[in-house]
Amino acid sequence: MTHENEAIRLIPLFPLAAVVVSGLWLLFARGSMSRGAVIAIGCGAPILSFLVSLREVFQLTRLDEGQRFFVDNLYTWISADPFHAELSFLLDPLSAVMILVVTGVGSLIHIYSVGYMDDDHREDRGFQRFFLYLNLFTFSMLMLVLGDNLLVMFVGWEGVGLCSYLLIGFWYLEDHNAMCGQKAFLVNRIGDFGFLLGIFLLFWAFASVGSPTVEFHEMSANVGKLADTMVTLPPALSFLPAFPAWKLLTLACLCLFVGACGKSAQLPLYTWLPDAMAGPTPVSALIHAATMVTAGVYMVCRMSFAFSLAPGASATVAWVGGLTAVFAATIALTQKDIKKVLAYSTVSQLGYMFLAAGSMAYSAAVYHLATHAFFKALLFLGAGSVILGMHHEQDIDKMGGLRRRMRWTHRWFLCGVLAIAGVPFLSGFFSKDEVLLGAFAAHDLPGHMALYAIGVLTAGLTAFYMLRLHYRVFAGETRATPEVYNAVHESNRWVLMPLAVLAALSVGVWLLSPPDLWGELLFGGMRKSHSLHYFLQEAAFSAPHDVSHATELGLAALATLFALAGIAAASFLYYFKPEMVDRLTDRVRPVYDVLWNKYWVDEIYDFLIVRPLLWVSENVLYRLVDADLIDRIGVNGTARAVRGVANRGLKFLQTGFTQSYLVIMLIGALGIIAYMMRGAS
Amino acid sequence: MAEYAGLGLFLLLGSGLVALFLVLTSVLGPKLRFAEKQEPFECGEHPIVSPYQRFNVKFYMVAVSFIIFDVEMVFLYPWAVVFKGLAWYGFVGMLIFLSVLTIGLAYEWMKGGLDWN
Amino acid sequence: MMPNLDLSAISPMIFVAVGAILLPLLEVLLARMIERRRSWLGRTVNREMASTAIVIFTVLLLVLALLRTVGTFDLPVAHFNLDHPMIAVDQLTRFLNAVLLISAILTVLVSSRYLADIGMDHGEFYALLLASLLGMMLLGAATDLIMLFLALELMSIPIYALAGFQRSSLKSNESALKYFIIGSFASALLLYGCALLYGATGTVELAEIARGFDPENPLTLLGAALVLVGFAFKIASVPFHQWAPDVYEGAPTTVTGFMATAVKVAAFGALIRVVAVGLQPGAEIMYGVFWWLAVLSMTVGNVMAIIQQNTKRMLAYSSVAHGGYMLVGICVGTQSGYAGLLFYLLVYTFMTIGAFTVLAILTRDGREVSRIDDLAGLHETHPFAAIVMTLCMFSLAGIPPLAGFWGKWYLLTGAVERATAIGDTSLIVLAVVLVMNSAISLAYYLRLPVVMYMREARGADRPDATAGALQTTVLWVCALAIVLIGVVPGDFLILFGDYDLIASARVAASAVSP
Repeated sequence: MTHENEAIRLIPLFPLAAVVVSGLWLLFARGSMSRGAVIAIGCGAPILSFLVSLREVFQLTRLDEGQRFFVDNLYTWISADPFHAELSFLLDPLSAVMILVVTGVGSLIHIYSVGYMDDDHREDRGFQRFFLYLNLFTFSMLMLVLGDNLLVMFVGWEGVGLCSYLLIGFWYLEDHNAMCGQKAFLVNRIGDFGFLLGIFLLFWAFASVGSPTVEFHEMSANVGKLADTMVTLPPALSFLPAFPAWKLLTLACLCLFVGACGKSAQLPLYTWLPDAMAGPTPVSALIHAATMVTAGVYMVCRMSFAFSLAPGASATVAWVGGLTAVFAATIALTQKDIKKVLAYSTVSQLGYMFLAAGSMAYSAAVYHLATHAFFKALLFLGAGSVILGMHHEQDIDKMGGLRRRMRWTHRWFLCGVLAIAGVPFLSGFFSKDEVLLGAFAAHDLPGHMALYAIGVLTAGLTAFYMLRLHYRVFAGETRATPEVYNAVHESNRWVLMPLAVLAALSVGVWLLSPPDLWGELLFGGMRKSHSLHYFLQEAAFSAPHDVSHATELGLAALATLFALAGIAAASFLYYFKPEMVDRLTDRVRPVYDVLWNKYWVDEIYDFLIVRPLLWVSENVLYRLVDADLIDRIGVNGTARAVRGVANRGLKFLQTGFTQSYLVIMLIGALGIIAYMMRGAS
Repeated sequence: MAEYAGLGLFLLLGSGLVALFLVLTSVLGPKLRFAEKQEPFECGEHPIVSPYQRFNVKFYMVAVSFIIFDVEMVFLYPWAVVFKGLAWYGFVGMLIFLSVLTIGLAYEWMKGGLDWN
Repeated sequence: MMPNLDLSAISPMIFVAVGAILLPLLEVLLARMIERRRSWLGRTVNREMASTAIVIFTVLLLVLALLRTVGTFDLPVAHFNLDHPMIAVDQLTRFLNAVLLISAILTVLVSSRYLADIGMDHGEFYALLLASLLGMMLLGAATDLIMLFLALELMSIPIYALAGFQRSSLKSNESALKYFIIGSFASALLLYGCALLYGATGTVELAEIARGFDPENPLTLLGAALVLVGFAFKIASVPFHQWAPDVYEGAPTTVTGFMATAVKVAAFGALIRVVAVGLQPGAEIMYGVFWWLAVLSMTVGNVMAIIQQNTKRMLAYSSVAHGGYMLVGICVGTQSGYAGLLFYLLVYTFMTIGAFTVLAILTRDGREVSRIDDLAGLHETHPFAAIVMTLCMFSLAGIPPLAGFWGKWYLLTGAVERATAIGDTSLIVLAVVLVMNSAISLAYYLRLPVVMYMREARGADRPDATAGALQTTVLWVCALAIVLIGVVPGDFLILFGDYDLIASARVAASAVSP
């Protein structure tokens, strides 16, 4: 059985080819390609990738258990003895799930974009440019998930960051959008710095035990040697008291996790994600809900061999995830921008995934990642359809009653809402249960019961704000002006078709791999090996739990209870008694204000970090260091000196007269002769 | 000394013949006298003018052609001396050399370099 | 009595010579056909058909010569005259010839359209170019002083004429005249040097000169010094460089490109042979000369380039500076030094021809882009030309991973290796000067991309020119070469790995049959 598989490279190759073709065109040709060509190239690439992915993942499942991986080695990228880094791809169960999500959901969103971006006439070649960026993103994301070592992964990691920046500011003519793009990029830099530090630290650590590598399989095989290594400080730093007691792996994993926090919008680096909604809605769906933001979760799961040996780091992951989940969910309760609600919901759900990953229930994290990709993409695309229908209105206070004008959008959106709310036997229900079960069963995790409680509470909050969103948009009487309301129209087929597919997946994707408990209960003797949990064991090992089936059912019932309570409360407030909302809001005004203002986190950051930084940059770094020291004295000073020499001295000799040239040549010749004849006898 | 007698005779004969021709032409030839004919021969140019003035570029063409064929002569003389020893090799070599020059001449001719007007 | 000749050894040169001789004839014949309205293949012959025919003929010959050269690259040393070493065809010659032919082919491809643009579409251009090329090819192969001088003149005189090819332009005339006068002066010095060397050693063969070289004989030293002066002029190294900016600026752009690359290639090739073989016993004395020439050329060239406003003058000073970089290879004087130098010549050819091609493309109806500021907004009007120009500038500046970086890299490693091997700090100083100069050069190389990409096209005084298909091809070739050589530099250097250049040059210079 060989694990070499050269078909893997095709998967990122198609989007890359699309980027190259389209990019060359934009560089060299005037105007854009024809619409048909843009669609064919733009949508064809991810669809082809998806088909290849399907085939290869199917091949993967047919391999022997415990041996399920394909490697595709392109070439040696860096060869600096003893360190080697290959540009190679790894397809194992973990990346298999990821590429199916990336190419599958990606393809649907590409198709959706055809309908959504159709009226994008703000710029001559915007349509083609948009698909170029989307494909560049798909390529980078595939590099990220298929990368066989941390370096390739990092390349993809930076690539998706770049695309995120480009796409958030896609309508760059409006300053606000460009600023949001910058914010996302800058906040991500903080995370990336941590990630890089983590890579260096890991490399150094592995090198110190004799296997200098950043390749996942090798690291995984050698990680045991590092299990007990403590951080050793150089003598100069020994006055720092805390560090010597730290495990090296803990420190490295924490650094990695800082990167994950940035990319996956966790506390305290989440602030860029809501602002990222400035991008076109398909972008929000693809990058800021389904795929890129889950890269942090993927990375933690990919590095699970290290995290599982670093309980301190894992606990941090779990607690950051749990707190983010509830924190973002509360903010989502009050927001009025349809995309902002979904953005905070995404932050919250990502928190869920980290909660699972921190509880060492990696398969649960990936499970939730996959289902979330479907229903969150669906919700975003549905919201996009609403925004299209409302002619770029995003304020839910100005919506309502859209059910009657956008029948299909309403139906599909509702599927997504119910799935994320945790209604039993929709995909969100199962994956959320897995996450909560993981937290419940993680005895080694300090405060795991508290985290479990937070998770259950968040489930209730999630159900509440999602239903609120749904009612505010679709139900009741409209709050839009009659002209606006009458102009509302159902979206075209390009938009609705992906919605339908995603709705079906949101409802039923769990059937492909139900959790163990439900597989047994519902399908009787169903083989365990069909469950995702089981499939993922090799790539991202989950700790076995000792929770009995009865307890498990009880937990599910409890979570369902909370979810139903949330649904009921939302229905009561926003469907049956909408007039009560204002009164209730007034009653809890202080709390409402805190949530409405998002805990003033942006303002606090602005005050504590942004402004002091700007002040220092402006006054110290720019005026003093850059303008005075470097520019005036360093750069301009030397430049002026050089120019001075050239202008006053050398230019004077370059007279343009042949006679003077000859004189200088003669002097030069005499100089050479004199020099050479020194030694003559 | 005797061996130099032939040389002396040759010298006398030669100079005598030249003197004879000069005298004969000046005596027998028809004579027309006007201002231009009295000036020293200077290739059609006025002899007493500023040395920096321009003169016709065609003179260069003639001069260059002259030098080329002059140098050709310089090659041909020593070649002729050793021609026997060189045999076919020398013949072909000189043929190539001459054809290169001929091509040059043909080029000049076709370009109109030999037309004075 | 019969000389023992091997014509196949110099077959590439024969191709070029035949072209140089037949092209004028072809030109006049075609001109006559046009005059008399003859038709060929059912079409009346016109100027365009004529120039197409001439270009095809020229390129065909050059490509044949190139194929022949590359095809015979691995063969052992071949001599033209088996009794007396005058033209030696070894790996050095073959490599130089290949680079020279590439430079000539690219120049021809760019020129056909360019000459039409400046209204000088005459076949004589190609004849002169080939004649000069023949001189260059022989110069790199010359193993005796007479051949050396003949080749040098054969190279130079057509180039003088080419510099003045744009008869209607005063600048072009000035360029030709200056180049001619100063060039003659330098040739005279070189010839005098050759004569002195002959007087001192009693021979004109490089190998024999090395045998008779007496480092204490003033006659020998004077001769060597004068020969060096002649070469220093040809490679435009300071203080023998002052003609370069004036000549480069005035000459037709494609000629400038050819001059800047091919003349350097040929002159450096011959210099390697002269220094490594003929004047080898005086290496230590000459080292100081080269050291100073290198330092002065690098520094003065770069500093002066900074203040230039005219693109061609800027590139002229840049070429002076690059001559300085290459002299570092001569200073090193080992296999790796020479190999680095040769590699640099190859790379330099592509970068420089690429840059001049962009300038040639921007010419229309005799109007050309002169000031750097006139390139403003080039990426809007000529996006591809702007990209290639940027690549060339980055490569000239030595930014990795482009070809120019590796050129400097090999020169530097050669210098450092040699310095550590013999414990000589002056070579280290030279390497440091090289690196510092690379930094200085960024100042003016980056200026072009900045102007092209960050300034608006409005206000730039630029004719409305488009690139011909052949010119675009040349741009592609240069861009690809810069990038590809940058990606796989090792493959090109390995060319020399198998051949001991110095030893082979010495063998080549010695007579074959006693």
